[in-house]
Amino acid sequence: MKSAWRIGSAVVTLLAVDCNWEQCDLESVEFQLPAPGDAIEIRIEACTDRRDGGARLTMEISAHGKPTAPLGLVVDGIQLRPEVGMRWVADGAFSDLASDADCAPGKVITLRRLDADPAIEYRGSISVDMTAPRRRSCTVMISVSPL
Amino acid sequence: MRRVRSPVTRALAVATALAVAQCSGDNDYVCDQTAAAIVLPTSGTSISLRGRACVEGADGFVPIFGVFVASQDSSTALIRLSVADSVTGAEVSVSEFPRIGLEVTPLHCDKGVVITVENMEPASKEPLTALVWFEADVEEFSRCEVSLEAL
Repeated sequence: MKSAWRIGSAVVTLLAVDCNWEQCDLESVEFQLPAPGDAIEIRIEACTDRRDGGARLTMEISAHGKPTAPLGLVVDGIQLRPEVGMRWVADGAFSDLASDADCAPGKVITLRRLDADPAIEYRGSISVDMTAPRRRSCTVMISVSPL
Repeated sequence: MRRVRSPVTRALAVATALAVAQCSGDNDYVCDQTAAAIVLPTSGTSISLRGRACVEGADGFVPIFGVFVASQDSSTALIRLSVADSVTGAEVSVSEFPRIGLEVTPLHCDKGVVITVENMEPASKEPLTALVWFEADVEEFSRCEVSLEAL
């Protein structure tokens, strides 16, 4: 009876802790690769004050225009999946718990165009949503720079 | 009664346990991976990429490349994936379930493999969207780097 009470208390405590988590930062950035040969680096720095935040990342890339030849875009640092209509998406946990490494140097994603079709433009967006226990602070910074 | 083991027996027991643990599980893990987002506009169009894998390991160390393609509807979209090994000259091609594994050596760091993806749809009206995964699966504690480039 005593152990059942202890287990029940532990479950209630865990649920209460979970309920106390809330969004502490949200950052979204759009990017483009308008010309053949273009390459960019996306750096995400997800920082929490006590290493107990979680981050969720969503990303979408699509090719615009009518391709006349095969297109290729090399993507490093994230697991995409193809969708209908020349689109690729990724969503999922950035990290179960944001660690020091998620803050510095952070997560780096690189995109590099392989095709030579000037009629095609790649556009995309990336969003990172961070949660942490109530009253804890966190910051998400996303920077996009050409390579 | 408590059994007393000599240091040698204990060391042998520990070594055996470690060996069993090592052999019983699959110790390979994805060391590095990259992907190419591909669009093949019409039937018969194809794209070729060079994939390189640089693996740091002992002599005879042979990792496996996993290369595969996914499309928006892999049950109906017909894609042919071919991989030509630039070191051994071997060529592999699959279309029904486009996933290929190749054994690679340190020589693949320079020469790599040539990956060709072809749209095999009989009459594709819409461009075929795909993704080519290129990864190195290695033993634990090995370092590696994989890359894809246009040919």
